[in-house]
Amino acid sequence: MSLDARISVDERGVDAALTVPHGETLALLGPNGSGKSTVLAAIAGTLRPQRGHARLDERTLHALDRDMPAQWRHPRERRIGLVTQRADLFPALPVIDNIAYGLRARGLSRGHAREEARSWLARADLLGLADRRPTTLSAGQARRVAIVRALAAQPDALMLDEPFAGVDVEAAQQLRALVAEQTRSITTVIATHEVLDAHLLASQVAVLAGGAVVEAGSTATVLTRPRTEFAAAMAGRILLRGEAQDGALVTPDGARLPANTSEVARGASALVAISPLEVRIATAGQRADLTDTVRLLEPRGDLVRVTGATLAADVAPHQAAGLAVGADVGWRVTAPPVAYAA
Amino acid sequence: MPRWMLPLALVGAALIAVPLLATLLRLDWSRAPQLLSSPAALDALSLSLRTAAAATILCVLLGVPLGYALAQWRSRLQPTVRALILAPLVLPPVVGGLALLYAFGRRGLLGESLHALGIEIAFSTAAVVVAQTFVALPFMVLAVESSVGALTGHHESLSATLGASRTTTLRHVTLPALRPALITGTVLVFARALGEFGATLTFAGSLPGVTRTLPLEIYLQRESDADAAVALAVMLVALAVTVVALAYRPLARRAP
Amino acid sequence: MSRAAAAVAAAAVAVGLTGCASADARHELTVYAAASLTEPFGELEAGFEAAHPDVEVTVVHGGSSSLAAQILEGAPADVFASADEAQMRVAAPEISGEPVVFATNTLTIAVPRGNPAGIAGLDDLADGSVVSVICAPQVPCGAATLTLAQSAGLTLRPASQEGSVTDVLGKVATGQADAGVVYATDVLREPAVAAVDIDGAHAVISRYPIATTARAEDSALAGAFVDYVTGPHGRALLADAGFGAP
Repeated sequence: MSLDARISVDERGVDAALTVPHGETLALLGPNGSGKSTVLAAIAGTLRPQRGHARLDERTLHALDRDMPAQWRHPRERRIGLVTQRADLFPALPVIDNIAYGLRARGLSRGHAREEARSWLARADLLGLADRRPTTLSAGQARRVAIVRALAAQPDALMLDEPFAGVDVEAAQQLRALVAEQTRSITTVIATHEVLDAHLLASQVAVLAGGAVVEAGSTATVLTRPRTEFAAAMAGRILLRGEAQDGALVTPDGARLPANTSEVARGASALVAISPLEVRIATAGQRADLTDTVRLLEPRGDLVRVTGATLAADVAPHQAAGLAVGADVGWRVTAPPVAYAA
Repeated sequence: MPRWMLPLALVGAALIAVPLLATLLRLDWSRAPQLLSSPAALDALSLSLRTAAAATILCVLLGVPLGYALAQWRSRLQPTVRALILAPLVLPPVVGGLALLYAFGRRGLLGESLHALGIEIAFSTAAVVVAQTFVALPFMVLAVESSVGALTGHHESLSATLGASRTTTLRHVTLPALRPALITGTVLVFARALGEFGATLTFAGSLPGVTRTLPLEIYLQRESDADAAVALAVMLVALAVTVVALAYRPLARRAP
Repeated sequence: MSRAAAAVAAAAVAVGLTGCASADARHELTVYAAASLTEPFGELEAGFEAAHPDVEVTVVHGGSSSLAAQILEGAPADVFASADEAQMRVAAPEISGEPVVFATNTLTIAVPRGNPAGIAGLDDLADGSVVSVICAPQVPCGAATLTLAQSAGLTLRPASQEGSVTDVLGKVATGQADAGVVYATDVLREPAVAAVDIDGAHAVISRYPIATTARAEDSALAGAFVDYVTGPHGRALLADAGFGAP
């Protein structure tokens, strides 16, 4: 079922609209504190927003706008699964009964619900945990069980709030595989601050900044051709605005960056989103595409990010040797980036 | 722990242990069986156990919802209401007894309406139970309130998203989360009800078999037969220590 | 807390505990007296102090049984005035000299002002429909009440047997009880109650003995107080409060 929602929660500064087509997965991408959890909780009905609405196809979950009589469905009537980044499992129940919980609530007998739960656990390769108490599980195991529990209740849509946060790398890997496999046909929203999750799991992306969705669309479009600094930052790119010239983007302060301008008319305003991985530092004797001043040097894993006023580059440490804040630097782009219409 | 704290800790322990030990030493062992099996002693013991059990049940029935509601209530009034509900903890029991008189007594706020309904609480065993519940209820409220953690509400919300009704949620999510508090609270409440004296004396009076509980019997026996009072006191202390030792562990140590 | 601070705190506690024991040259006299003697002993204290300007008298009131028990446990009483001879005997090991009976009292029925239940005599208290309160037989007023009821051939049916006459009076004064058996003098000191006479109340007379204790620091002074109470001045004050002569 397709999901359509607009969530306004004043005290958290959230006013966000999003839609997810039937069976698709949307990555709700935003930094910590941008309001992702609030949006998900409001759709699931565990938090009551001030205004807005949420609909699954034609079924109204809530409608709280002033010009209409208020409608509010209790979360138990919504059929929306919710998995959060907190300890979700009911500590008093073993894993098997946590999974069976939603099935029991739907009226299945105890035995039947357990049988059903067992098959869900088997599908997720978690059968070995069936009789364990939640407190004895690792964070990753508990998260996987929580996702399976939400799925076992056969919701119409699934809300996953930072499902890969707070677990180790290997557990995150297993969780991603589980989510990728199990949410293929269910309308899903994954709140995450990791662009990787969007690339791997989502066909749709909505970028949340300061409580509002600033950009939304297909994953490929939003992450490779962002239109806002927020979306570009989430995608790990630097957004440059300017005017399309022959084979270059000319920024308002006159810098010229080589670019593929075949898509845009000459003289039109255009955007370029370039990854710091596609930028190199010109060595002595090399012609620079763009000159700049170093503003910041910081480690990025095995690389060093050299940030200037206009561009940034992720380079090997030895290439950054000798650079200091305030020094002049010349950038070279590995391939001219595509300029697209602003 | 800094070393200077140890003597203070020992003084504290002695302050409690020495009087209890002294009571034990006063006990006339040869007469104890006879004193403890006197009809007056047995009446008082039986009455104490029955009323304390009834008060404990009332405290569970009323204190759990109250503690739970208090934990979840978000309002500027909450601290005031909470302080009011916990007042019997710091109130001298006699004052509690007077307050109960003003409410349920013959000339009390509700007493006349109750009288019209044919309900007479004063000087009855019911009055003893009411007095014990009055002084013990805050222990249950505190225990429950402090154990309703941030996760309890979270789990209740999730239970709803899984389609569970409120009652199912209460049974499988909320009550299990409150279990340690329920055990601790029940023990504390029972022990407090068993030891109740001042409010009972003021509100319920003192009649053998009806309102004269063990502490009241001890108080009265002390006037005429100190040995009997000591024997009863030792029994009460033994009962209280046993109950507390068997069932009460600090909440923190239960945490998994 | 530093070691010095701990020492200061300990010193403060010590001062607090001993601070009340003043070191001046005034003589102190502590009198333990039955609760029913509260009124006259207030005046006796003032009168004795007026006659002995260098003496500070402190009167501690309580149930006689409870006072006797405290004296046995070493309470700092110089004089003990009991509401009955039995409790004086309980305290005997700590008593010096022969106790002297200085006052008598009789029992009466206290009812709330206006006597809402229409109590007419002790036989009404044998009727279960009347809410009545008496002293428990273990305390002097209860023992006297029991004797009186037995001599009248009655079995009282109280709603409660209290540990002290003050508790009986309180329950009547607040209207919790329709009637209570107390000392005749108690009714005089509680404006919220009225007395209903008991026929034959004089058959059971409570006798109040007074004596100096063995641990009295200044036995001459304690003796002087006893003499004052039993003397003409004391007798007049006690008669004013409703007590009978010995």
